[in-house]
Amino acid sequence: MTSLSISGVCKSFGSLSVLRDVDLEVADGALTAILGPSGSGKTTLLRIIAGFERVDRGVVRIGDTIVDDGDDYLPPERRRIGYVPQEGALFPHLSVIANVGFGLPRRERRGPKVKRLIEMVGLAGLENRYPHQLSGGQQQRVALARALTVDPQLVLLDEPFASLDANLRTTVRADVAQVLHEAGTTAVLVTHDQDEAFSMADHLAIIRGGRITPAAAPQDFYAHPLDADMAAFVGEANLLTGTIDGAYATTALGRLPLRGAEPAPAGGSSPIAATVLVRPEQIDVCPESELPAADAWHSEHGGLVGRVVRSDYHGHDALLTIRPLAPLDGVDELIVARVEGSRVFPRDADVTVRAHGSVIAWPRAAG
Amino acid sequence: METLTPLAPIEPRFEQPRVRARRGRGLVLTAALVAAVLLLPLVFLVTQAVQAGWSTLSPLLFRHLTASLLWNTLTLLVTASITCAVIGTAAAWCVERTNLPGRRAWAVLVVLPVAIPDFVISYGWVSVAPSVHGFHGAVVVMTLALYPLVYLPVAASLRGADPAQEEIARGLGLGRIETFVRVTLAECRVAILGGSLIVALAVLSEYGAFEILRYNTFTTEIFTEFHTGFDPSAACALSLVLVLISLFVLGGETAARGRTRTNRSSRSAARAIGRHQLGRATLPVLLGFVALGGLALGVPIGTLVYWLARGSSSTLPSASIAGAAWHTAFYSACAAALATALALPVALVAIRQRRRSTALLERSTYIVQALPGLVIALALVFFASHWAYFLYQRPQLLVVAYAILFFPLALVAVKASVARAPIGLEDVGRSLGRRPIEVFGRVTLPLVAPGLAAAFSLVFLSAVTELTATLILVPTGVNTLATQFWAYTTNLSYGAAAPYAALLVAIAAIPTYVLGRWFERLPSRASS
Repeated sequence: MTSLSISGVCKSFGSLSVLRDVDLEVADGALTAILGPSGSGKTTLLRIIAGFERVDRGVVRIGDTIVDDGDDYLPPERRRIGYVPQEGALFPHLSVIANVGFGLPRRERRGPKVKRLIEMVGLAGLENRYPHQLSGGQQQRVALARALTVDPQLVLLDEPFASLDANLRTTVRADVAQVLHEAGTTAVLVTHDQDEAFSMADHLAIIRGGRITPAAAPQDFYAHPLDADMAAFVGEANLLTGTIDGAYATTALGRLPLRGAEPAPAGGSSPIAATVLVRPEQIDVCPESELPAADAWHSEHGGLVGRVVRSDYHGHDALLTIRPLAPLDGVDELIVARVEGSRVFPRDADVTVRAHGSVIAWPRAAG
Repeated sequence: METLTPLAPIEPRFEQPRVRARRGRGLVLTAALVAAVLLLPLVFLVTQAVQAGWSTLSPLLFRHLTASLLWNTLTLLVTASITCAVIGTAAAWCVERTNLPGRRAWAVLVVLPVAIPDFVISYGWVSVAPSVHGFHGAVVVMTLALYPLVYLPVAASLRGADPAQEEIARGLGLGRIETFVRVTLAECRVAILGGSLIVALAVLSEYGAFEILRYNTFTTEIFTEFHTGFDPSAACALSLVLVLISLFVLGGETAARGRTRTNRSSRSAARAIGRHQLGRATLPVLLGFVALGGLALGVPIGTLVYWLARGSSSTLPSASIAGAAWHTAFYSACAAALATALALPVALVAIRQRRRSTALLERSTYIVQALPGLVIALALVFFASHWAYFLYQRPQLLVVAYAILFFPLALVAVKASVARAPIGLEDVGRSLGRRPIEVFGRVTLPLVAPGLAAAFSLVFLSAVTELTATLILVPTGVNTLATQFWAYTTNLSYGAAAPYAALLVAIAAIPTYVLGRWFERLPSRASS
């Protein structure tokens, strides 16, 4: 059963086309993230679901009800949708308890339900504070509790963590995911932060330039991106020039099996020029100085010799940017490798890199 | 080709599209209607001019009188603007950036003259020193009455500016004076220019003070033509020139405001400003402030107290003063309510439906600033006597004139508060299952209310102390505080006039106090 179903939705503002033929199915009880860069139309899509904007064409269904088909339209106050906007948007003139109780009938505004929700988001004791007396994370929790008071069929989260600082973001994210999970609520999260989408979402759809991909598990997008742009958008990526022949791709890093390809009879077809995706964690790095007898080792194990030109240290790991010393076919491609944070590679160190695992490749248009 | 992912361009945060064609068409229509009403006086003026015809107007325009009025008006305008700019800027800098003793008290005292009507200030001076008259008298009185109009924006600009800029300039090797000229003055030059042009507009529309000081400008001449000769064509011709000059000044003011640029790293918490130590200059500066306060506040208030104390010598018609106070308060309150109500749709459209057309609509309402109260009043008299005689000499016409005249004040206050009630909050309210009308009552109205109150107070304060339009439009047989004060003053019955002026100042002081409190609360709420 689906909680939300969108088909063929188009929307433009004046001459600016923001959404083109968008389809989206959101499964019951799951958290679906819509990931897209700034200006991709993701917020507009969310506002259409909430009822703040109307579709030009297409159908939006919540549960079994058509809420907007371009002609008929259900106003936002009758959709039972919990909306958590950017930066919380708490009512500045109302206390925490009045904010949370806003959507309830007058008698229930300070009742047990409000108290229970405030407890659930971990703000018991702060009922009479005003928004400007709360931290950014606390404000987000109030916004979430407020959205849950109306027993929403669907909770919409519009970049709710963008204004929080990095440390807080991780914990608030986890808290929100937990609260939503415990409440068993279906949720749609809109974000431009790949990390956020991956860590929170059960399903993920990527929106770019007003077009959206079908929703799938985040792992699928990372392992099987549809094109090179998307590969780079969902994570660090080496996009190397190379060739495909049969079930293998060949790059400066050597010959690697294609993911999910059937082993083809050898020498069947001539190689095709391609862009090959190798994730940084697929690359092993070994300092030249540690190799017993470098020449002998290379002839036995293969690998590419390069020099570290940049090192981005993240604590748990580090990203090394490596320039091959002998560029293949004159193509000077930098290679990014992820290594454990405990291993130290000084700049200008010479290293040997090798790739493991399978890769994805897209045939490159001639020219 | 490099395989390193290229650096992602830093994209601006995605702005929600502001275009909401389907919503609020009625609101835009209402706002357009308001703008049309506001521009009616201008239309009437032009209509009147067209009716009179060029052959009637040209001899009235091109005569020696016009040239001498032009000279009188422009020299006063330039001189008063400059003196106000100098005094206002110096005072603002001393209060905001030095260790002047008693800064907080001075910050209030220095602004207070703005609450005293210009004609009361000139009344004070004339009754103290009859030699104060003519050009020099007008310069002194206008400077003392209007310098707060420069002080206020400059002080705000100094408070908003990042003090780190001065420190950086010093760090780059600039001396104290060079830093002051190249950084501090440069920072607030837009505020100084804007304030001076507001002073110029005020000088152009002033009537009462010049009449008392026996200084002839366009306004006094227009009033005389209207009142004594009742020559509508001459009044109309001179009004046209006056409005043209005002429009020119207003254009300069708009251009100056458009150049406002602030670049402050707003994320960094506001630091305490390192104040300049006055050192040996403390005493002279302090004496300067005492002199300014004495001249701008002491003289008018001292005179009032003096005449009130000698009250036994003058007749005190207690019944008529109560009636006059009632009329003043009632008309002003009606006008304040009307102006606030007119400002709300325009502010909503200007903030929430930002488009080229609506911006133009909003800006057109600012043209009212270039219309002196005298011109608005005459235009309404012309309108009533030609097309709506039932309104002629009725209080409704006076209330409408006040509302038009002070609409820009109301708009500024209402706009500031509408900006603090973003439409996103209404969206959230509706998503919580509440109908739009309920959301308006429970979210928008409480957030906008302080601004509406401020707009009401501002208009009320200004209408209470308005003289020129009141003299023309007040119904026969009705007296307000201002007209009664005027009647006594023109008869040189200074003692009899004093209670009316004192009451005027008292009534005007209450909204000033409310306003001050409101503005003080603004920054703390904005930071939430």
